Amino acid sequence: MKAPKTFPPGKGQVLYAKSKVYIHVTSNKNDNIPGYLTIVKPFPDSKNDELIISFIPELDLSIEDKTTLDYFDLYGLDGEKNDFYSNNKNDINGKNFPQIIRFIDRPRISSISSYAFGAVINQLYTIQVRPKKTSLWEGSIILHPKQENDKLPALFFHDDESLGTKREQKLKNQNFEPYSENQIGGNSLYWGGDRFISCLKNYATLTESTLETGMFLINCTQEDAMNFVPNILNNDQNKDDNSYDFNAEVNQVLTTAKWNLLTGLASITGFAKKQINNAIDNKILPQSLQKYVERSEVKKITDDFDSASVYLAKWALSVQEEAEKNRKMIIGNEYYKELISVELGDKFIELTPLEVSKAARRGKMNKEDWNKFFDSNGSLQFTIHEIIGQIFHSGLEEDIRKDAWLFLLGVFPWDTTVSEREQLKKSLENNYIEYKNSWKADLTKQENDAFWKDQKVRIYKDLKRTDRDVDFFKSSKGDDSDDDYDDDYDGSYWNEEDEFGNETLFHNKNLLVMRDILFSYNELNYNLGYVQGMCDLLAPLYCVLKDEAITFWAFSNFMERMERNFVRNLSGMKAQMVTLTELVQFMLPDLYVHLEKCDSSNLFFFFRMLLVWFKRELSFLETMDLWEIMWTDYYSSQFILFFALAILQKHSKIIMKTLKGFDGILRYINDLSGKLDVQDLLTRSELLFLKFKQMVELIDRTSAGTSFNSKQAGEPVKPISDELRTLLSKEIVIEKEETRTSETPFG
Amino acid sequence: MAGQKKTLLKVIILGDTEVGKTSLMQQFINGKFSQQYKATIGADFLPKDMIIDDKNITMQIWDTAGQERFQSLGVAFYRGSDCCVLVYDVTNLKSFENLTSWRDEFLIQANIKDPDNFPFIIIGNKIDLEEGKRLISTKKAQALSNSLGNLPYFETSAKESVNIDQAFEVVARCALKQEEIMEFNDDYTDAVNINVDDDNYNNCAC
Repeated sequence: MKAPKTFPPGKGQVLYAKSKVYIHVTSNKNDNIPGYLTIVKPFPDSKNDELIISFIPELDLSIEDKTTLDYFDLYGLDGEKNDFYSNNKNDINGKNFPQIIRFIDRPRISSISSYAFGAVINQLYTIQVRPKKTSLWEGSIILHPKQENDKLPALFFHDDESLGTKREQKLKNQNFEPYSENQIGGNSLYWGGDRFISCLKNYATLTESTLETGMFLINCTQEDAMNFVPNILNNDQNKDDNSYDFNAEVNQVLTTAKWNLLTGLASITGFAKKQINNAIDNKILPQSLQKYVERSEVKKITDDFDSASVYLAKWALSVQEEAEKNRKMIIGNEYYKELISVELGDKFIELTPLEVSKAARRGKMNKEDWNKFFDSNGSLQFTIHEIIGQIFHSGLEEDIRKDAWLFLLGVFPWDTTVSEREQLKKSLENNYIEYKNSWKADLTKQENDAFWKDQKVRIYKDLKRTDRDVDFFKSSKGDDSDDDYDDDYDGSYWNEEDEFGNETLFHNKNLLVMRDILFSYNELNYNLGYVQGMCDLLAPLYCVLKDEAITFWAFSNFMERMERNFVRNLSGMKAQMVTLTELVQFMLPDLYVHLEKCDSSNLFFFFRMLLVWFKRELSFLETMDLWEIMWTDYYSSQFILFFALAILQKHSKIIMKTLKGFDGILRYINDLSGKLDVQDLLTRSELLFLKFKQMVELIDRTSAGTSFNSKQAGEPVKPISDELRTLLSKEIVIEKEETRTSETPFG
Repeated sequence: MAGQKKTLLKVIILGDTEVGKTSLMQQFINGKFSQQYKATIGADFLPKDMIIDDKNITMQIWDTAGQERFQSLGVAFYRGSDCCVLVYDVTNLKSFENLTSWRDEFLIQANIKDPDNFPFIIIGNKIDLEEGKRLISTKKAQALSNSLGNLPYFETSAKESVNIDQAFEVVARCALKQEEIMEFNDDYTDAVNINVDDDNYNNCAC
């Protein structure tokens, strides 16, 4: 059966459907949500691992789609394969064999308003299957996404209500094969979920864990297999790493440890983790250290650092990263809030390497992906939430930034067509000219306005020093290292009437455009004016957008949210530093205690990072990678604080173990500049956010008066401060500079 | 153990934007000069180990942003300073005129208890620039230094590494002296604290 080349707009192809699948919201059966479990191919060219498994409540479906799904359910069409009834072709109630291709509205991955949910196969980690047994009236499945915090509800198959399942059972009985096709926990009778598993096997490799009956790993990697299906483990698996002795050794140790763990205990307990940790701390690492240090490249690196503790910390980090690659279960501190640990699990606060690698980010969105979101008029044909979600999780390839950033920065609303955007662009260009002329054409201002003149000096001084290492902003004079660093500056150059458009001022015409944008912004936001750091915020924007007027508006919009960082009394920065401090206290309590001991709990080393969103710590391109994710406000308008938290989280063990003073901590954090792995940190940021949210929700629930079990009695529940709570908001925090008066000092 | 305790000295560098604060710090600590320094925002920090009269000291040098508004972070950044370096650019009159206000601002923000005796050092930077560009003479600068309480004054070139080590050695000595005075005062006023500090220190030593 050939797959169709095109799908009707907005539709996906049904490959599997089962009726009367329920979510049991409460124990009261009146609250059950009936719906359909489906496997849908979203686009004609979707690969097998891009299929969507979704639950669609009956109430969410159009009549058309419901008919389609009932049809699939009843006739048991098995996607494109259609082999389930191939022997029974003539048996379908005398009707003609049904036309196989049917479409329904493309299911949504998530929904706020209903119980509908969906997951792309490659985002799934495992599927847990509980077949119908005599003791379990209804069989169920649970999908486990790779992001461990995305908990999806169990789906119960009400076989006695599902016409499709009843028909299948009848056919099976006629053929004297009443048993399940997928033998889980011994032979069981045929049930509703069975067909789902069989069908899914057409599109994904399911590997049953030998550790837990009914737990299937979906398209599992070798590492997953080592963790969960240890009997397929063999000794050859470390061969790839032999080029690096150290790796191999750690691998060996980890493998052994994992074996001990997995063979000794059915489930992973805190105790076992501690054992592994101890083993590594006490026996293994010192040996490895010896070998590691002997390597010449390591010696070379260490020459750069004269402090033993910093060196040790760096070494330890490299070990940690190495270990994480090997999916080691490094488990950290033992400090758990009783409430969290009882309700959410005793390792909840930590990010295990497993968790991090499971949640690894998707590849960047390319032009083709991007275009799929828009129809021929350039209108978005998905929800804003969907496209934002995709950008948040993938990031953008360079060639679509020019388009996408304008949406992300609010220059164009998402719900516009191409022609509307063209119109909008024209009026924005005209508006910009107005702001530009308000200084450029006003010679009186240029000559007499003291504030303006002061700002001019400031802007020139900063522009001269802005990203001159990036090609786009390099001096056209070429080898500038021999330049007199003040060759533009003879103590009076800003008093000279430089010809506007005269490139020689910065030896770079792009900087001249940036100057005009900043002068114009200085007019637009007269109260704030230009403040140091804004150059840094503008440079990546202009470098990508390359259109003066459009960049001006993009920058102004970006400044809406960034203004709080630049107000005179720095209240916005202080608020963020306080929030971050509370967040660290809440999420990384052990680290916080340590920082406090080291007189570093004010986290001031994050000041600059937060002020210009890590622009100075990341490369020019990495900065772009980070910013576009932040602009989505997908989870929180202050997601940047979770990025900061992720840095601390990633380094917390090292900091706690090896850095004992203010001095060392500062230096360690300073030295992270240029070495931050943005993608890894974004993964951690997301995991940390989701955990944070869960913890807040849990605490809110329990403090709302619901009696909670006695285990929490000893541990007072920490109330959630307003600062922390605002982290859950997607609303941009706006703080404006006070009105400028004649009294307001410059600068 | 206690005898080997390193003395930690905190030094703040202040001055107008683009007078060369970052360059001075980088030249002193790393012996390098670059055209590529960006405008400092917030504050940067670099440590430098030194031996002064057989004493091991670690200088924490704090490079600050030139733009005034970032100074209101003062309390966080200035607290516990042992010495403050005021920098101007010998070719920029305004940066010289602002030195007094930088000093006053620091004294307020850092909450210095004995402002008359707190050590400041004045540095006139960029003496490598051609003579014609220079706007502030040595004489004029010395006069200001004297009027502010006989402050040590140095003329430097961060670019060509002129007088940097000499200037910072004086900074270190001033800071060390200040640290000793402060410790002495602390000993007098709060005996309990010493024990607490010692405990902390022992816990931390490794």
